[in-house]
Amino acid sequence: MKALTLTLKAAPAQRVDLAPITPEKLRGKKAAEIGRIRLQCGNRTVAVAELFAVTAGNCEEIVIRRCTGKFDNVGAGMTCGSIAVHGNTGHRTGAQMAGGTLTVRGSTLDWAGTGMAGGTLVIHGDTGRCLGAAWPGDAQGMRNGTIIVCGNAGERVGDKMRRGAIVIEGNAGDYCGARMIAGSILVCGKAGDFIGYSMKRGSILLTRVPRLPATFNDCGTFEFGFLPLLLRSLGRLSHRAAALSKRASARAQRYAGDLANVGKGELLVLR
Amino acid sequence: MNINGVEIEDTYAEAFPMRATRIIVTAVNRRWTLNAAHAATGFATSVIACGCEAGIERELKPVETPDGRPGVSMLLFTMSSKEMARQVQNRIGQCVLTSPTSACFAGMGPKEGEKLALGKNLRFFGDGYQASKKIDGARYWRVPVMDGEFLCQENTRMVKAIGGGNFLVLAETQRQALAACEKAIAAMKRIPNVIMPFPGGVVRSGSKVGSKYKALPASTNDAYCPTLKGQVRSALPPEVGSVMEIVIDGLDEAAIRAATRAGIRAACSLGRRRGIVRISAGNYGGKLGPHLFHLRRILK
Repeated sequence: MKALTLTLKAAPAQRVDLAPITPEKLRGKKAAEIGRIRLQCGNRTVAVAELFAVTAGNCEEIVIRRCTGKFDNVGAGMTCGSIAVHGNTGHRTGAQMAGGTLTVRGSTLDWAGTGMAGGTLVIHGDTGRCLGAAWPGDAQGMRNGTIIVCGNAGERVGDKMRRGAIVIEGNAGDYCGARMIAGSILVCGKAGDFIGYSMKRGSILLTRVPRLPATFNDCGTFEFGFLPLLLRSLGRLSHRAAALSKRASARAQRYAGDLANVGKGELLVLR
Repeated sequence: MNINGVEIEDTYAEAFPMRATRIIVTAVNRRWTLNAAHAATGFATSVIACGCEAGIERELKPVETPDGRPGVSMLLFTMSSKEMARQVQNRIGQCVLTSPTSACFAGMGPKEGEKLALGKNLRFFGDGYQASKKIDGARYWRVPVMDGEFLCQENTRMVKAIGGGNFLVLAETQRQALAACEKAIAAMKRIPNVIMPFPGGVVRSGSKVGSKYKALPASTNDAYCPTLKGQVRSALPPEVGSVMEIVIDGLDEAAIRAATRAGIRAACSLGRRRGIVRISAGNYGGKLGPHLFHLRRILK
């Protein structure tokens, strides 16, 4: 059975909350019913059918075409199935998602994957600030799952991240892994300043030595048994991680920190 | 029934339920993998005094192991879940964690049997510097040690299994019995899901239940001791001068049947002309365990 497809008719004038469009929320609904779902658009609501042409199909597999950065909360809270977005998305893409696969064949704005508790979020373009980070007021950022960004990411990747893995195939902005509680972040390109700022635990994997905060100490270069497992796992979703895993060496230079906080985190520069 | 002139006695091996787990150990090369595995499966011939029966199931190529290094899969068998937890913790803690470059992984599927701690408690050796990584749903512990890090999966799984499958090789001389057993073990090592826990896979001191000494739960199986042929009610024909036993622990009946079949056929390949007289099996009249392995049915 083919996928349920929503094709944008015309760009909305205001921001639109697309959180009601997830596989579990659409399960069992017919195309007409889906077309009647009200979406918050600015300070009013609009029906799905006013914005999108709805083509009936399998609700477990949703395709959104011609999406733009005006659409927030795309795939937010999804727990199963898949959503493939052709185009860009707005803020909070995949926020609080707990399962399934969300693929954005474009770029996203800020807060993608915030509060994520499971599943896979793949962003083929760039993403804004606070990827997988803690929403203001939340004690933890991403709690599980995997995020792959094929382009660049803005500031505060994985802020207060608790578990899971983030791969940035391009460059990451400042404060990458700041206040990290645990989990793994791989930055294949360059990372900005204040990397791992105030991190407690967790691993930030890098391919080049960043500008190190003063509160990280060099521990030396070693073999790490978990690196082949982690890179092989991430390599199933990211071709850059796959290339790193094929490089074979499990050696990495370890910088322990942030010693101004708990100090059990690490920056690992792959060798 | 006979194979190459070797009589297959119309009897059966009697086996009993056990608990089993499979653990994969890897290291920088084959030598250090085997060092760790031999230590971890050492002194594990019989539950009577060792606490568990353990052995190397097979060596693993780098492509077969989780971390892409040479490895071995070990099988451990105990009489209870509690004892298994104790044996795994002690053996992995003292023999694998201590072995240079080693790492330790679960060797069973995530949904098989019940959960069994592997690195869950060993991580405390890290004295607070241990760190965990959750990869593909499994948690691993990184314990800092003097040569780098010891990587150990948090849990493995434990399944119901069978211990005590066996057969006896009755030969004219000790050398002939040993030659047949060596052939049998070589063939049986190719069978998955089984181990032969005794030294080299062969036991020369088969036991009977009980003893004239009250403190001993088992004692020598005098009916099969060739030097006592004129003294006791012997089970041996006059031409038999040596008996050796191969004990098989397996994850299921099919594995034990396959190993028994391969072993007996290999032992019998030497034939009656090379001194192999008879193949028999140890049983306790059906009182010990629910699993009976009839030799003739297995070899049909």
